[in-house]
Amino acid sequence: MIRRSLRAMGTDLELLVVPDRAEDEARDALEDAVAEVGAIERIASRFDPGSELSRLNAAGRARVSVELLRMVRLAVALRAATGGRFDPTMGRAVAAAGYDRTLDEVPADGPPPGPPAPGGGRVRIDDRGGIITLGPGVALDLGGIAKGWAADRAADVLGATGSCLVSVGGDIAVRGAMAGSPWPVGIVRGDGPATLALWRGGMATSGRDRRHWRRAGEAMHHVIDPATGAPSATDLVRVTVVAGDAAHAEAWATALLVAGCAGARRLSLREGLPAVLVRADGATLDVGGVG
Amino acid sequence: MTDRRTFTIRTAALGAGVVVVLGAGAAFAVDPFPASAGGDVGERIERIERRERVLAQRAERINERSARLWESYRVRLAARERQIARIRADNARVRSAAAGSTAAAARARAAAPAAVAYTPAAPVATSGSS
Repeated sequence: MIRRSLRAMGTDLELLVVPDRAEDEARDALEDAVAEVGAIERIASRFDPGSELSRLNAAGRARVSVELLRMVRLAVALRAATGGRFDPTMGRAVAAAGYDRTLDEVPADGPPPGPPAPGGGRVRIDDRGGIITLGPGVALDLGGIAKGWAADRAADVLGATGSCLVSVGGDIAVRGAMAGSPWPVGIVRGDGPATLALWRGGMATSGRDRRHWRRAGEAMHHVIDPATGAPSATDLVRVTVVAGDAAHAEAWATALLVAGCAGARRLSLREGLPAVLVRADGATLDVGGVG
Repeated sequence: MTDRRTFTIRTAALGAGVVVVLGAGAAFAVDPFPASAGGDVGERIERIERRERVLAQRAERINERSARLWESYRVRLAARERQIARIRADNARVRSAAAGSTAAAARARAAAPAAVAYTPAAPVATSGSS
C-alpha cells in the first residue's frame, strides 16, 4: 500500500492506494489525484478572491466551468433532498458568524456577529449556457460539500490504478476493498474512539466541537442552521454518515447535525443512511444500519 | 575441305572456352573471396569482428530506443485510462445530478451501504469533524 499525506484545501489530505498495476503508475495517479484536489480548491474556495466561486458571488451571475456547475447543481439538489437542512446559499450567514477567512486565520474573539442570514436563497442554473445566477444578496458557500466532492474526484482518478481511500479533512471516499477487506476508518464516539469497516462509498463527519471561536463573548462555530441563519444549537455535537459517495455523506452529515437527535434519527432511517450520532451529553446512537 | 577444317577449329575453340569457364568456376568455388592484395586472413577476421561490433552497438541503440518508446507509450496509456475513468465518473455524476433532487436523494439512499459494522482493526484513516 502506498500512502501520501499533505495539506490541501486548508486541511489534511491523505491518499492510500493498493496498486493492481506497476507501482510507478500508481505514483503517477497519486500526483494526478492531488492535482485534482488542487483544481477543485481553486474553483470552489470562498477565501480565494480569484476563485470561480468568489467571482460568481461577487458578480451574482457568471458563466462558470462545468466542474462548478456540477457542484452547485448537486448542492442545490441536496438542499431539496435534505429539506433545506443542508443549504449552499449560506455564504453570507457563515461570513456574518465570523468565518470569513480560513479557519487558521479566524481570530479567537472579535466584534459581535452580523445579523443572522437564513438560507433558501435563489440559485438559477442554466445548464445549456453554463450560467449560474444568484438571487439578490445570495452568496454560495460550498464548504459543506467541496471536500467530499474533492475526495470523490481524487478517488475516481486514483481508483483507475487500484483500490484506494482518499481523505480530505476527514471526508472519505473509497474505491474497491483494501486487499479483500473493508477499509477501517476511525471515528470518535461519545465514549471514545471506534473503527467502522467501510467497503465502498463515502463517509463524513460534521461536528460543532472542533471549529469554534467567539464573537463578543458569544461562542460561534461553522455549522449554520439554514432555518435561523445562526450557528446550529441542537442536542448533537457530532454526526458521522456513510453514503454512496463522500459528497453526499458530507452534506447529509451537516443536515443530520442541524436536524438534532430526533430529526437525525428519523432522516437516517427514512433515507437508509447509516449514521453515528453523538449527543452533547456524550451519549452515542448508532442508526440506519450501523452496528 | 575448308569447311571441315573451319568446323574443327571452331569446335576446338568452343571446347577450350568450356574448359576455361569450368576451370574458373572451380577455382572460384575453392576460394570464393580471395584475400586482396596485401591482406591476409587475420585482417579479414578483424574487419568482420569490427563490423559485428558496429552492428551489435546499433542493435543495442535500437533496443534502447524501443524500450523508451514502449515505456512512454505505457505511461501515456495509463494517463489516458485515468482520464477516461475520470470522464466516465463525471458523466455518471452529471446524469444522476441532472435528474433532480428526488433522484439525487434516491441515489444517495440506493448507493449507501445497507449496513456498516464496527471492526477491531486499526484504522488507516480517521473521519473527524471538518
